[in-house]
Amino acid sequence: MSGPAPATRRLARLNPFAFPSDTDFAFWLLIAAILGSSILLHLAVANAVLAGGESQTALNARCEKQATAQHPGLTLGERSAWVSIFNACETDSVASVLPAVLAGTAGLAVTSVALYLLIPALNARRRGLQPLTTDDAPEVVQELVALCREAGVRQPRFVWDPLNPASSGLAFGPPSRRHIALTGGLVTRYWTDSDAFRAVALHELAHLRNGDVDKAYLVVAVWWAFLATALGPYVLSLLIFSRSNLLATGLRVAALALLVYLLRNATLRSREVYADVRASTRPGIAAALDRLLPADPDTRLSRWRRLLGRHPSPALRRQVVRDPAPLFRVGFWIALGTGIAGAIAYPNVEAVVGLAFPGGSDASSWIAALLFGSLVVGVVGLGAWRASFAALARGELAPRTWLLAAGLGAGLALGELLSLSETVYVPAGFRLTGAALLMFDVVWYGLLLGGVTLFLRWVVGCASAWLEAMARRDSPRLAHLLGFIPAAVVLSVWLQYLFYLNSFRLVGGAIPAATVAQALSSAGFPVPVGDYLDAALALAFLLVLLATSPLFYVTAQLLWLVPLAPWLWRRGAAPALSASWALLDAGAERVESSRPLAALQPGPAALAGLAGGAVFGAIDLPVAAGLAALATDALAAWLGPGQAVLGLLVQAGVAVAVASWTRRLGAVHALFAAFVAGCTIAVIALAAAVLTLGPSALRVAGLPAAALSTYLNLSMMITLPLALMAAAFASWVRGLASVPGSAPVHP
Amino acid sequence: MGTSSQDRQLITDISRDVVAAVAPEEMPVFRPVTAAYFEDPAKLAQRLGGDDMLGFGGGEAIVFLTPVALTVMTEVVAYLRAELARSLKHEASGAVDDLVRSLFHRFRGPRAHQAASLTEEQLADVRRITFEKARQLHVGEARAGLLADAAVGSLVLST
Repeated sequence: MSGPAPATRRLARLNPFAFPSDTDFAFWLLIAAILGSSILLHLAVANAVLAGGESQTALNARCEKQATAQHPGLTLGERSAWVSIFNACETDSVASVLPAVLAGTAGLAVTSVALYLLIPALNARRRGLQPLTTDDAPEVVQELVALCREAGVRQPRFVWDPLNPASSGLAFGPPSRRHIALTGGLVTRYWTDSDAFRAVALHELAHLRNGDVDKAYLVVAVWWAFLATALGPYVLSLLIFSRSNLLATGLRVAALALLVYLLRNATLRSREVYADVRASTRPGIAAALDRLLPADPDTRLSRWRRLLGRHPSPALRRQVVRDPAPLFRVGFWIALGTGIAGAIAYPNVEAVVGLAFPGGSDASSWIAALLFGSLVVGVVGLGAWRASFAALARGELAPRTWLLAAGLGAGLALGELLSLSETVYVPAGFRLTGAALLMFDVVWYGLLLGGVTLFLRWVVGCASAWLEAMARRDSPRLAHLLGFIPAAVVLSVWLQYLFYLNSFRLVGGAIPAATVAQALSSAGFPVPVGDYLDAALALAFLLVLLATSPLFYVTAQLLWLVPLAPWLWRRGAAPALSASWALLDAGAERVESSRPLAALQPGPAALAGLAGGAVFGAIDLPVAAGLAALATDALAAWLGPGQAVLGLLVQAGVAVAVASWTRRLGAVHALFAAFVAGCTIAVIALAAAVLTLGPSALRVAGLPAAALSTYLNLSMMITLPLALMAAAFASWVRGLASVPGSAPVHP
Repeated sequence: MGTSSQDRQLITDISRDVVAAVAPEEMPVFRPVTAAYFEDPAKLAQRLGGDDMLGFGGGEAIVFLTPVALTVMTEVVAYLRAELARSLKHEASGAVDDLVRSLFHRFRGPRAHQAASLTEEQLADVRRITFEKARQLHVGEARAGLLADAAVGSLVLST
């Protein structure tokens, strides 16, 4: 039996211009990679030149000798003093390189700007471009002027290369002197295939509208400037000073240059598909683009050749014009690129800031972490935000955040290899090796992957909430901004702690685990010696850092504040697809996502928190009062660890209950409920102290701070994993109970 | 190139007519292409229409008919000059030039009856030369035929 064939329904094209583009992502990754690579190469050149040809290996040996002469012992104190002397020796040697590095970076910037201004003029001259006037082709000029109005761009100067028979165009020139160049072949198309003529002209005008002309010429200029001011001098210094290390270093530098080259080409490729999509919003242009583009080349064309290409494949261009869905995706490769670029930039920016402000080592790592965090959020985070919109609009699954986290982790590992740190900065014996390194990496990368996966899930949740809240606005940019800033702060704080721990990998071997174990045993904490010790110490160190950090406390509250804040705009909220900016083509049919999202419920979550506080009070106050009446030492024990344990248990219970019961963003609601409970509990706990010990209790040093730290910081470390597990379990149970074949549920 | 300025003008004028008839869309590029052709015909022939790395990418190159017409008509003029020189051995070269011009409709003045004309065989030669040269320059068969017809149509047949 066969029913009527289902009508094929073409989905409305989603508007990729409402979101940051792949061109932006590739551009900023390139800038980060160039900045990091240039600083790295300039540091190496300056070190080699200013040290009079002394290699890093020789410098390390000299500093090791100096430190060992003063502190030859193997106790913890001796090894710590050894490291201080060694670091001072290395710092003295590199302190003078700062002006050279700054000069090199300034040279890169100046050369880039000069080339950016020169390249368009040189191109115009080489191609013999001449003004296209009404004397040459009045109809063509009139059409171009009309197309400018249609495309919404200020009229550029039109020039042409009448001898070039290709059907092509070119947008170029600095902002004050924008030009559109047409070939002779294209001009003749005005009479033979006017839609094809309009397609190319609109494509070039779209470059102006998309604002990618400057990006394109900047990436070309920066690439040449990088070769001239960083790579060239470095290769020269390598040949003069470090011939023994040529192969290992040369391979890394070649890989670094390849990365920059690939990112440059990715920027150039990406902007072409966006220009096609922009042009295709006019009638007849999509079909004309299809005619103009060459036949798809051999499908055996390898992925690598496509990566090296400066133009996207015709197949991709055709596909994206039909449906721009690929422009909403963010995948493993872009995350990998972000990881590599960030890993190259992070240590080098940190090194330069550290050299510039030698007294504030923390400041340098915070600045570097903030830059890296912003890069990751700006590329992968906003990519996930964009993908989340597409998933919301089409009722599809949210982006696979674990894959992005895996790409980021792999990129970080690769970036570290490329950053030359293995050959340049770390003396022999400092680096963890063997099983100790393996265990440390399992812990560190586990924290990175787990943390970034959860972070991106959180970003997706924020996106779903904010995009709905902003659906009635003219543009979602405010939502992007509100999503970007707190996300950058959250990730930067997390990454800063992680990178802080990363130093164990590089220098953990300087103080052997046996020495640490011995010191701990003598201090009354006997620990067995083993390869696990470095990883365990790092983990313990991280927990202590987080539990005592006010910054972590403030940042952690953003985890519930940001995704729940759109509840305040709930009256203006609407499905994201109903927004004026959601679709590319005016008047396109809006297909609603198959299942509306559940509402945010901060009110019930707050009530649950208050109820938890009430439960705590109902137990705490009578117990405290009873113990005070008995006047036993037990009161001090209750007001100390007793209250804390009870408070944390109540908060954990509230979090698990709220996470299990809330259908949407369960873990976020749970954190909010736990926060409300924590505040209530802290107040009640302090009140119990005042009631039993009198107002002087508040003057006990550290008591209020300890209360806040316990019920907000420490509790976050307990409630967060519990809430996540409870929310995941509840979601799984709901999934089992849902109707088979129903639409997937967005988080 | 060893073309006199007088011949250049003649070739330009008759090529313009041919291009206007066969590829009118090329009229805006006719002037600059002609100037480039006479500057260095070989260089123009090598120009295949590359795309900039920052350009549209992939817009196919078309075969411009203007340089083809200029090349073809240069050969036609050479052929006609040779034919007339053979029959008018004792005439000065200036007179031959005038007669060559008069073989084209666009230059036939009021004293047309005194001017030279071509036989059917000669016109067939012109068509063959034109067609073959156009094909050599990668013009498609149909378009080469149109070009040859336009070239023959611009000439005067003896009555």
